[in-house]
Amino acid sequence: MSEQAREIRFEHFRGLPNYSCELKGKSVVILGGNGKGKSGIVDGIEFLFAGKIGRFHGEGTGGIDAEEAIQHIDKNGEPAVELYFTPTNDKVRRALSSSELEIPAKPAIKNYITSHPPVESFILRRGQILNFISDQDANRYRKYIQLLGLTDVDNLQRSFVEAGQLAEAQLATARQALSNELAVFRESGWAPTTLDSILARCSDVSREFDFPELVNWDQLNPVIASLESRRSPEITAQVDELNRAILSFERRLPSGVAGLVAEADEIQIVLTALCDASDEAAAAGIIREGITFFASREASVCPLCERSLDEGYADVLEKLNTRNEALTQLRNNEERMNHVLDLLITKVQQTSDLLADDLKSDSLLAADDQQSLRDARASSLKWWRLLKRIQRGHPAHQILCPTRLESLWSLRRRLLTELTARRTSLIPDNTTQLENAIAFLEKAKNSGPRIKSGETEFTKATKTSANANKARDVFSTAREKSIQLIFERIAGKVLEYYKKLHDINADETSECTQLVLTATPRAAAGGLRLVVEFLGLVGSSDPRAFLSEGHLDSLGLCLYLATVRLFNPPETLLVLDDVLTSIDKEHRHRVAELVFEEFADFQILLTTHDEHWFGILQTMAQARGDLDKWIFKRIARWTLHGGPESASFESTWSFIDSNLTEDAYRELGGPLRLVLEDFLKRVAAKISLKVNYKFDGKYTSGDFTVSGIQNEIRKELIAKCPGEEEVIKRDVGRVFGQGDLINFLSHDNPGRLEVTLEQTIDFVSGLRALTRRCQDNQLIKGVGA
Amino acid sequence: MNSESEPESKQSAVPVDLRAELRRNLAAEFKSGLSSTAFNNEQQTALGELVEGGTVTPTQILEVLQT
Repeated sequence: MSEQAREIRFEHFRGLPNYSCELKGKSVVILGGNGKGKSGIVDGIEFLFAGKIGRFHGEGTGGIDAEEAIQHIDKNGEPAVELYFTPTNDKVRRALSSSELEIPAKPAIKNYITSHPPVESFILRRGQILNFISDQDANRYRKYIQLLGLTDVDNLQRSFVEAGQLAEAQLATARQALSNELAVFRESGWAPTTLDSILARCSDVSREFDFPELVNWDQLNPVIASLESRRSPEITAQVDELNRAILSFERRLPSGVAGLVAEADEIQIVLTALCDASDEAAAAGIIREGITFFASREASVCPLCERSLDEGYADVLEKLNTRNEALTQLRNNEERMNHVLDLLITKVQQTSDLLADDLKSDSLLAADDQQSLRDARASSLKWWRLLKRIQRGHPAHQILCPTRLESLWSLRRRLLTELTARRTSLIPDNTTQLENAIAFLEKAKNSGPRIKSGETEFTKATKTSANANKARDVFSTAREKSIQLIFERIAGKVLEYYKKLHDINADETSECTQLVLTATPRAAAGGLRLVVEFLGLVGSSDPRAFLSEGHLDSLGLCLYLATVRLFNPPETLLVLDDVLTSIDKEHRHRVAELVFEEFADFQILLTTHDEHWFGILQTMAQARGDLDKWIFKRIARWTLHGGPESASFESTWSFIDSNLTEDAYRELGGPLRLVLEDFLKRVAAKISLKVNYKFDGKYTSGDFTVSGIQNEIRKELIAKCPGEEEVIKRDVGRVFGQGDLINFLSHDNPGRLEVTLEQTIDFVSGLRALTRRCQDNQLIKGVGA
Repeated sequence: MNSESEPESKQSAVPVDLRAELRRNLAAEFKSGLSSTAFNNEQQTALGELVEGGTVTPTQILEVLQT
């Protein structure tokens, strides 16, 4: 037998300052009007498992202080919730200040917690049902994937999408680099697009001087040499120097630096926040290896010290998985940053190299311009070193582009214009064509290798980008198909449940003859469309178009329950918080049947404000002989400082009656404590019994007996019914005469009864008789409550 | 009660296998989809292993595609 929840205790938690909800390993139905603390119990379970209450976080909750909301208004202590287990007699606990759930070193409890579904998958609140039905496809998909615990599949999808984006960015960079190299030819009003087109242009230029057509680059040098032999020697050296300078200044500075700086800054902010939240980035590799190692082993021996591990690897694996998920975000951002820094470093290096080339012609430049170029190069080299340091892990708050580099573009344009004008004025008109031809062919010869390299990079980046998109599409299709298979399984189960509720008889058949959950194709974030076939007549359509609110409610409930049935491990908790709102009486019977038939292997906690629904569940449990598997509680009232107070104990009395047998009576300690305490508290309140004050307000039966409540009851009843003195004394004796039993029932968690069955029966009949007599004589507060 | 045997019965619960089934299907569908592309065998194997591993970064994907 696996662990089951025995009791949930709440301390200083919201409207539950000191409350115990006993489950005893059974399913529980709690009835209570609005504001009686039912949802507080569900909040407590959510807090226990998740460490927070979801509805106090996220969109539209900006005005809520989540920590404040968890505390009881009196703030007499730290809010905490404890879950006790059976048969292992231990608990897990979460207090507001503790970052993790406190779990005892007991394998059964550890495994219960680690294999339990997340809160989204086992707690259903009223508001969630229609939200899910009515939501947009993308939101519905996100919620549903979270509900199914399949966010890792979407993380894979995101990585493929980002790989495509990264490849596209690399392609854009390669395209820009090639474009910059080709741009040196645009000064002459011509815009080549390939290296081949440049060779063709060289061939045209050569033919103007009666050379044959050029078909390869090796033919260029002899042509240049032949043309140079025709030049006027007086100006050759000066023109060559100007040509080299002009070619250098025609080459463009790398573009996109400002955009990369902005992107790096944006990532840096995210990284700083993530690093502040976790100092375990360096451990990511170890965590990944740990997951692989522990996931592939079932042994219970430590691989390092070879000592036996009491709890096996389940707990370790769970913790590693949680940390791995948190670190994935950090790793992804570090990768992005590394990529941006790579691009930035390359561009800064290119800038520095260009400036070095520019400075080779410094003798042609004015002193101020020389100094400006030198300063700019020094700045680029300094920035390059800084970026390298940042890439190696040196902390940096902000990545700023040096101001000297910002004005470089306009400086180089001006110098290019001046150098071109000097060259033009130097060359006599009759040699202009020859000098221009030599300059063009030299430019082609110098730029050729760089353009060739640029073309190679561009081709490679184009192929990588196409491959990345292909891989993304293949993964998207695989994801859609595999998720769709699961959706179809769920849809089949949903339809099965929906028909259970609505295929009732000849007068009512389910109008939904088909139900389809369809993943929206190809969306990076995904989408989920919910359509139903209405009576097989109007085709597939959004259910909101024709289903009533009640039917939408039951459809939403079926959707959730189908997911629970298919995905959640049996014997875990299933919490349904006031989920039947607009479902009519007839259909509630069907819902009850569904719950009893399909979810008998779950431990259900069901809250409701609806007496009728409570009655249906109680009657059905009785009719099916399942009363021993269920507890039915009523919350009569709620007070600010006391929290919820349980009402009548009819169901507890029924339970006691049905278990007064030799086989079962020893387990009646808890129920007997409840009914006895309830009786004594209400009588004490009515007769204003003086009881020693207890700071924590937790009065037990022993506190009342020590204060002599039995004497007061006897005295009051005899005064009211003098003719029945003997019977009254006998009943008081039956209840209070069994000192050991009273002491035993004064404990919070009585174990097995150590009295005989006869003594127990005597006690029960005495208590029942006294309760009735006190009620008849108005000696008990809140009669019937 | 044998406490050592409890974790096994808990973890072998059928519903949890549905998630594993989805992941198996996903890896199989992905590999099948790759086989009809122009990716070479090494790339197909490496990409398949990345998806089977359950976590992958964009850079890891590109490293495989650039080989």
